[in-house]
Amino acid sequence: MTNPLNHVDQLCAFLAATDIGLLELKGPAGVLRLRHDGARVEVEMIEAAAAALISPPTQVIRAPVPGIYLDRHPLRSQPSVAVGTEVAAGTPLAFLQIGPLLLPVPAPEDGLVAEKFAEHGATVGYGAPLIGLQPHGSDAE
Amino acid sequence: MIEVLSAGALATVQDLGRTGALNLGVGTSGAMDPLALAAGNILLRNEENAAALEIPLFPFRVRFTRPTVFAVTGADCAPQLDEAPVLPWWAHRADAGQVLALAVPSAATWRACRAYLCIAGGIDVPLVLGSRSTQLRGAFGGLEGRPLRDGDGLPIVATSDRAKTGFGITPPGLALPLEVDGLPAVRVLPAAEYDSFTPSSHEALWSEPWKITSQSDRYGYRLAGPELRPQRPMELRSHGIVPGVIQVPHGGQPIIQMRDAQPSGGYPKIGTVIDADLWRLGQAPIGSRIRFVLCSWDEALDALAATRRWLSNVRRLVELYCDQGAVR
Repeated sequence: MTNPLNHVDQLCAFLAATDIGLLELKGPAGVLRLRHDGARVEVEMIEAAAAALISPPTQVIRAPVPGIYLDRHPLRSQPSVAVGTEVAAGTPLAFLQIGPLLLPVPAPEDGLVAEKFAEHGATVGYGAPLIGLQPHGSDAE
Repeated sequence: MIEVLSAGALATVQDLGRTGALNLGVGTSGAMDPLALAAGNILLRNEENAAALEIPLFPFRVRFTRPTVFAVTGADCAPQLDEAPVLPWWAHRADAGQVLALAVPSAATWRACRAYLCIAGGIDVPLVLGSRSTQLRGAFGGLEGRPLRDGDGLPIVATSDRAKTGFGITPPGLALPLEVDGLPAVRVLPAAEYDSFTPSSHEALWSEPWKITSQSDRYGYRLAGPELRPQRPMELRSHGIVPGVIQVPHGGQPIIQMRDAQPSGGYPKIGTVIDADLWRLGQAPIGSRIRFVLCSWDEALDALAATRRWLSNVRRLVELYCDQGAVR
């Protein structure tokens, strides 16, 4: 298999032509992360050793599909969870609206809601960072 | 089976109604908010017309005797499954023995008063004249033709487990809003005796808010507002009427016929709320105020088509999501 690092320019050109916000490739050498903000593509390469070291205590929950990001159910006036809330795995933390359909953004594991990245009502692309979750156990190390 | 623990009052089994029997003197019945019932059924991959529970008064509690997929649509009643909050307009799975509790509706973003408990497969009561709706006046249909009581057991149609859980839909009250001066509005066609009312009555009908009085139920809504006057007293023979017809009795305060209306009446009719907007009326709480909007025949048909389009779009996306786990 060819090394994706030899094709970064090609990948950037491909990404620039789409509405995909993030392309992340993980390999034994490290992580290649391409961010596309609609205008330009930013390239970030994290070496495996560094990746292990800076591996953030906060897990970033990303949009599983493109849609309209809602931090609360449309019938509710308060956000589903506030920063600092303890949540159980599976709890819907927010929603993605696609037409009349409402899909959950569930907590992948038990943890503490550490950060919110997206605005209520914003249109988000695939892979857009939505919520930062501090998994239980990470602060115990 | 669903076991009713706390029935509240006037909760009934309803589907989309018993159409085609007006000639026998049998009214339509059916859900006061047919859109919430149809959308809830689509969410659970039922037929749109599957029977559900219409719940107008709270608290309301049921126990599921076997694992059951359900959704609570209509008003947001802060549903709780074994005292843990669950989302409204969302497909859930209850385990055998779990208790679902519905509280008095909150009106955070959409003011509504009736909840629908939809069940994968639907409530299994016998069809009468082609419908499972409760006909209270005739005491047939639904469960023994009566409102639910504590201790009732409701059988569920056996399903093929097609329903998926863990997702929901946006309520049509938010997706298809209609307001005038901040009040919920319904569109109205002028009816046969419209021209016999005074100009000031016409003016008041279209420009004043109308309060839904406490004498309002599934049979009809009595409204309070400016007095509507005919140009001269009218006496009519009884004639056929349908849900939505706005009658004006001698007192000048209008009555809107609702789902359990009898199929004939003799009061002069000033207008008819269009079929496509009856669900808005069905969700308007007692004590709230509404506005009437003048509408043409073509606009009424367009409104019905828009509602159909919304429902078929929900069906399309739900099926796509359930079949492929993805949406494009």
